[in-house]
Amino acid sequence: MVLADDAPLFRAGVAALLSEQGIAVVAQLGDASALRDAVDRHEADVAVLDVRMPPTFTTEGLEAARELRRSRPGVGVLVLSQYAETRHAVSLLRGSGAGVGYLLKERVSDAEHLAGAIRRVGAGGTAVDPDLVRTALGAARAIDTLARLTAREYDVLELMAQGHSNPAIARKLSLTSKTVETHVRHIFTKLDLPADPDQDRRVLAVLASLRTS
Amino acid sequence: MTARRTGGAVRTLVVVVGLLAAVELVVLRPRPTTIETQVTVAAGLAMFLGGVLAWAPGTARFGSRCGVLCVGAGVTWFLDQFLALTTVPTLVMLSAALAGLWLTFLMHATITFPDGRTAPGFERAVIVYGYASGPVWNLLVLVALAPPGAGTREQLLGAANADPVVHVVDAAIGLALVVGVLSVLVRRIGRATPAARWAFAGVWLAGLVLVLGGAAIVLGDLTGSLDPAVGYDAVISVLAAVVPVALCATVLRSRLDRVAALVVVLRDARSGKQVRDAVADALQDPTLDVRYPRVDAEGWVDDAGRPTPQPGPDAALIESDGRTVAAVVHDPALRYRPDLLAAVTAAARLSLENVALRADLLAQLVEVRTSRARIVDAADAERRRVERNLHDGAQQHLLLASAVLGRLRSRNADPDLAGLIGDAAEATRAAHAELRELARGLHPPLLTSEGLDAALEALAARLPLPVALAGTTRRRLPPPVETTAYYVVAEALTNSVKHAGASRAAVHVQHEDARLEIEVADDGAGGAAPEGPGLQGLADRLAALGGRLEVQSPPGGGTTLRACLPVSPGRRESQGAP
Repeated sequence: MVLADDAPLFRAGVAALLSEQGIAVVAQLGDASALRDAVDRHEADVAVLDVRMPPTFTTEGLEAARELRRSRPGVGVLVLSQYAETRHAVSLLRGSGAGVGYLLKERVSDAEHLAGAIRRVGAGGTAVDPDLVRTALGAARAIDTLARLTAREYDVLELMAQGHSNPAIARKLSLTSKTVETHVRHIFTKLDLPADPDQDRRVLAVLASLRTS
Repeated sequence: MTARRTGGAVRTLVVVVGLLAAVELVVLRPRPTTIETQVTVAAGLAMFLGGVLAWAPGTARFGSRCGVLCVGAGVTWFLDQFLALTTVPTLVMLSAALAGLWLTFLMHATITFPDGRTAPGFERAVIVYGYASGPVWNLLVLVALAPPGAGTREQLLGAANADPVVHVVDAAIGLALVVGVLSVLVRRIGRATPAARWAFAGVWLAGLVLVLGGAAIVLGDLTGSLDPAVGYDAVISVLAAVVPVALCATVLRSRLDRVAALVVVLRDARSGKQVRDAVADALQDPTLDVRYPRVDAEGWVDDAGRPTPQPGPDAALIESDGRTVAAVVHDPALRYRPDLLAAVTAAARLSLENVALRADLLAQLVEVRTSRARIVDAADAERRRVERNLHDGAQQHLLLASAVLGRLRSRNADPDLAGLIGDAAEATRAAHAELRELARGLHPPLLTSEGLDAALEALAARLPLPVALAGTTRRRLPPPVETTAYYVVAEALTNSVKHAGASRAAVHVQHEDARLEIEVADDGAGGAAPEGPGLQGLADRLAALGGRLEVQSPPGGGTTLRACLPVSPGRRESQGAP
């Protein structure tokens, strides 16, 4: 994978952490300008990049991520952000959740979580930060959209919105895959969503329904 | 000034008509042209030109109405002269009706000088008698007493006047007018103040000369004592020309005294523009510009306190107590009239000094405003800088520490150590989270990158109470406006959560071209004190940008915060949202 972040120390720390997790960091960049070249040259599967990078320190990383998704649809993109901005996550996931992720930078304290998200994104899946999901669900809960869900269904929804597959959710909640599938079906019915969409579209569907509600 | 321009055109037209009439008259009169004809034409032209010069169209200036009356005299004078030659019966009637009307016009102008208004009662009666008696009597004579047959007006009336009774009545009617006009004039002169007498003496004297001269001729005619060798028509023409000349001279003398006029205008001039216009008018220099030096600062300003270039060396400096209070930048040609320039600037000194003081105050006000805005800008820049420093410094180090702890945790198999590493990771995460919220409170990066709407949306989503957001900004706004609006909403919603215990809140953003209105309402406990540090700080910040804050917070009735701030166009707005 390719890693772009303007802080060299942090970059080195993350690279070390990931290589211990068996993920090879083939290139490290200080800004997003050479991202596509690096991805092409190293035939990287995933690009991990910071939202805020030179030259204006606003949303260069986000721009670069969207550009890469357009031009290299096969490459997974994971954006790391200091702040959980729903707006940014939604703009990144717009169209398709395939091979894209948005995580808080502080997830580096959990090496397995970060590595798992990178692998998921690399394999065409989705990764949305739990904090972001919680904020979105919290707001939706406050305006009663989610009141009809049971506690267990809510747990499943939270993991689903983060981008986890049914088997992964089953593993995390110590349930059988069958039970998880039932919960998912109930959730989709209760939220008035089209039944059982593609794995990579359902995160989007869930987040979109929460935003518009 | 349209009325003036139209008036100017009318004036030109009147002069042209007068000149044409004069030319026509000279051409029509029998050859060879006599001295009599020349005097007649000159008298008519005097009435036209004198009247036009005294007449100031579109204004109620001194003598203006009398000028119009004088033009009326000129018109009837020339008509009279033309129609005197005709023998066509209808035109002879018209001619009889007009005969001598010029005299009434001139009497009218003299009696009512300078304002052209008649006092009701005797004065008005004399005027009405003047306009009515001549035409009525002449027509009566023509219809009832003149012998049948064709002829010019003079021939027919002359024949009727051969009857002594008719002749006496005719003279009496004319003398009655003379007596009436004399008594009105004498009354006016008697009642006038010495100053008015002095000012209007020329016109009144001319009026007396005309009336008495006319009366002498009528009486002489009646008693048969006129010398047949003298051309009395020419004498009458000369007498008739006296009034317009006196009228015009009196009016122009007063108007040519520009300094006196300036002093009068300045008495009522309030604004800097009025003073400038008055001075420009007095100097007849429409390009005139007045600049004022700052009192305790360098530089020059205009009457609104806006900076202007320093006046050049040719400008006339107005001084008071040895200090320059104003500079009059004028047409260079005025240096050939140093007396006028000196008199005008001396007359305008006090007014200019007042305007100078006001201009300096306005300039100070502008400075205070900009310095307040600068302080706000500087504070915002500092907050952004601190946020950036936290992001690049402490936050990065904490993230690095988190990453190291993360690696440690995944490598370590010892359960005792795992607990410690977990605690350290959690403490680091908490520290980082707190620092992040602190940094975001100082300046939310989303506000810079994507603007107010996005930042408010994110702010509303983070809060533990439902916030209904309505309205948007139409475009990116200047950074101080966005930042201030954001702080208003953030402070208000923080209060809703922390102090008011509100269960819901609503934010309404309304952006019209030059102003932004923000309303934040909650259903909480109310009773917020507008003079508390939070709200007072917001009010100060808004005031610095020329805006204001309203707080409605009755106990138990929720809190509504309304902020209104101007959006100055042209400041950095193009930084579009990505």
